Amino acid sequence: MNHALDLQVLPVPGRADTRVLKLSGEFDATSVERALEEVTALLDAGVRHLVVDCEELRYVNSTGLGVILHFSRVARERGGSFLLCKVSEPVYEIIEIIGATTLLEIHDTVQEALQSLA
Amino acid sequence: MNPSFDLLETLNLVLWLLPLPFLGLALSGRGRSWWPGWVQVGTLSLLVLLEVASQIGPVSGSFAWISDRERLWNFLGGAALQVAVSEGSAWSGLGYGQRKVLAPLRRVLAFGFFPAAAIAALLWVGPLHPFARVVPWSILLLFEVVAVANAPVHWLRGLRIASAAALGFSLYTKTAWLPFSMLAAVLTATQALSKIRRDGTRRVQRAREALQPKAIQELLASTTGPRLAKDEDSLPLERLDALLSFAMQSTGTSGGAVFLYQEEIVPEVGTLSRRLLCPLAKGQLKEIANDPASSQAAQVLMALVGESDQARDIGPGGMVQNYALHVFRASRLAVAPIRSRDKSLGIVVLCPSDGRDPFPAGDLHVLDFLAQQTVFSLHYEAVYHRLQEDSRLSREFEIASRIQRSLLPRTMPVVPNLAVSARVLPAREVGGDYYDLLPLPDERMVAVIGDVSGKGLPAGMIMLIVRTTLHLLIDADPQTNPARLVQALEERLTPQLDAFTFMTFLALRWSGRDRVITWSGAGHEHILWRSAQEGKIHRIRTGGLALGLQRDNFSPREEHKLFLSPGDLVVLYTDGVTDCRDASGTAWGLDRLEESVERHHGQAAESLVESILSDLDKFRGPVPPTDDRTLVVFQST
Repeated sequence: MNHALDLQVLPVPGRADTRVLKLSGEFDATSVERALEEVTALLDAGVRHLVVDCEELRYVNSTGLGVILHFSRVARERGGSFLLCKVSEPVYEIIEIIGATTLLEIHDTVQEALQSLA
Repeated sequence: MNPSFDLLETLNLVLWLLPLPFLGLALSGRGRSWWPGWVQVGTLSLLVLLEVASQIGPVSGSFAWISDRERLWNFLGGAALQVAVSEGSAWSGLGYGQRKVLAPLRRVLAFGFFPAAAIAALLWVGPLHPFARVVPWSILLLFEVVAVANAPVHWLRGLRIASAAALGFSLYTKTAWLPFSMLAAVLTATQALSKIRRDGTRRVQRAREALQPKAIQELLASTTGPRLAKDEDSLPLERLDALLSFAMQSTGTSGGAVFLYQEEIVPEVGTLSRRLLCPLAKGQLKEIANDPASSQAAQVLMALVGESDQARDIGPGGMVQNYALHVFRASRLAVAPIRSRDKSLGIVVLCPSDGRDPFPAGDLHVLDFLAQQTVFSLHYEAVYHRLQEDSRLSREFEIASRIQRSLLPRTMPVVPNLAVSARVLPAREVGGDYYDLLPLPDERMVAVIGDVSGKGLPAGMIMLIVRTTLHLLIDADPQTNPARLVQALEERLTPQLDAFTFMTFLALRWSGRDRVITWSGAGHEHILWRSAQEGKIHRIRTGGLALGLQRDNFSPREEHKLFLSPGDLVVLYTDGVTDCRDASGTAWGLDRLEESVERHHGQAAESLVESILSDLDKFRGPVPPTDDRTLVVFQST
């Protein structure tokens, strides 16, 4: 089985300040550093809105969740947003347990998330 | 025709054919090392038996198809072959003589051949009892056993088999085998000569024997001993010193020095420069260590050796050579580069006492060997220091781990109507899981469980902050309730957390008199409540935001109540329990935890905890846990 986290950054046509971030695999302590680097680089490069496609994200542990919450906070502080979509049941469960459903914007589809930005 | 003659013929044929399959194996080096030699031993044993049988057994006299003269030739030939093979191999630095106990015995036996051969001659031509003919063959046999036990190299095994085959063949054809012995002796001599031609190999071989196993063992022994623990810096020099002395001794040179690259900051310009410095110089070259010109001269020698991996003999010649020789006050130098992979680490220099003559190739081999060993010591030193650093760290981790363990409740508090049991199993030395049980006045008790995101030392330090804060809060206000406790903890803890860290937390208060649990959650895992009346497990969400998720405007926390009937169970856990994976990557999960609780619910609290954790261990198998696992069980009584 594959433990690694795969990050894919996709442009959004017509929205220069937005990217779709596709996460797949498992998001835990082993992948935190890479995710931090890549997303921080995106935010620093002027990307304001990040739509995170979690369809293929199998697992997030507390370390990974801490980083996701951090991104969400940073994006909001900079006047942008960090939207999760297609969150799987187990991942949603973890977010729910720690009470973070109110802190994270979660959408069903990428389309819906992008529309919420407009 | 005497039937026993046929028997002997057959035996002889077998003797002749037996070693042949092994010949190819041995020469290709693939055969087991003991095969060929023991085949020879077997052949000789049969010969001894034949001699015995021909003297006392039913085949008496039948061995006479070989004349006494032929027997004598056979024996002398066999003895000559053995002596040639073994002495030749020992002399050429290969083969026997590796084992201390057997080597002297081999020599005694080897030289014992000549008197034994004389005895044999007397026996066959003289008036002694015929049975005594067994004696020389037995000596040959004994010698062979000793030789085989000494682990010969494989070309030697080939010769051994050839001699066994020749022996059998000569018996079969009833001819003396002197020609075969001559052939073997020539082969051995050729081998020995080729060794001599490869000048110095023998000495290098001896150097290896002398240096490698023993010196490395000594090195290993000394590094673990207290002597070097006191003075770590002496390690490489002590070893280099021994190596250099050895090289000087075995090449008969009177001076030697080692130059190693060292990086230093040039104060004026603040840049890093790489210079060859001399940490070790001996004999005639002793003064060179203090000579300011030596670094430059060593650099010149380094350039002369160039990219090669081999030692070079440097004598008077061009300006460059003469300059280096002048600085080293020598008429000749042997220089070897110390290289590790593609990186130059330095050079080793030897200088002869009288030397006008170029260094013989063998001496250069010894120097190469010294250079390789120097690389080894330098590597060893680096590894050794890293190990020391690691062991220091692991000691400190162990102390941290002990401190953390000592902070967990040592005994379970005794409160009315409740049995409590808890365990925490950290995945590493230090973990971020936390539970605590604090007795309060009025037959009450506070229980908390929490999990700091992240693992290891950082998480463990947060756990310590939480524990201290919590104890202070409860000491300050023993009447506090869980909601106030969680909020107060959040206010104090949040500023201490970095941007990525949060902590799930759950505080419960047990009131023994009215059997009520009051609790307030901060994003922790579910409370499992097994109602004895219903015989069913309820998952209760703890609710609340994990600590550290909101950075300010800490809102008051919610509080909930749960009444426990006698026999009810409450199980608290951290996600390390449910997220624990087996070899296929499947998590244990809440369902399996519930099943385990259900299966063992009749047990006392303490054994219930053990049973659940042992179920988890069984599921996990050999996969190491990646997260701390904590379990707290309340049993209403």
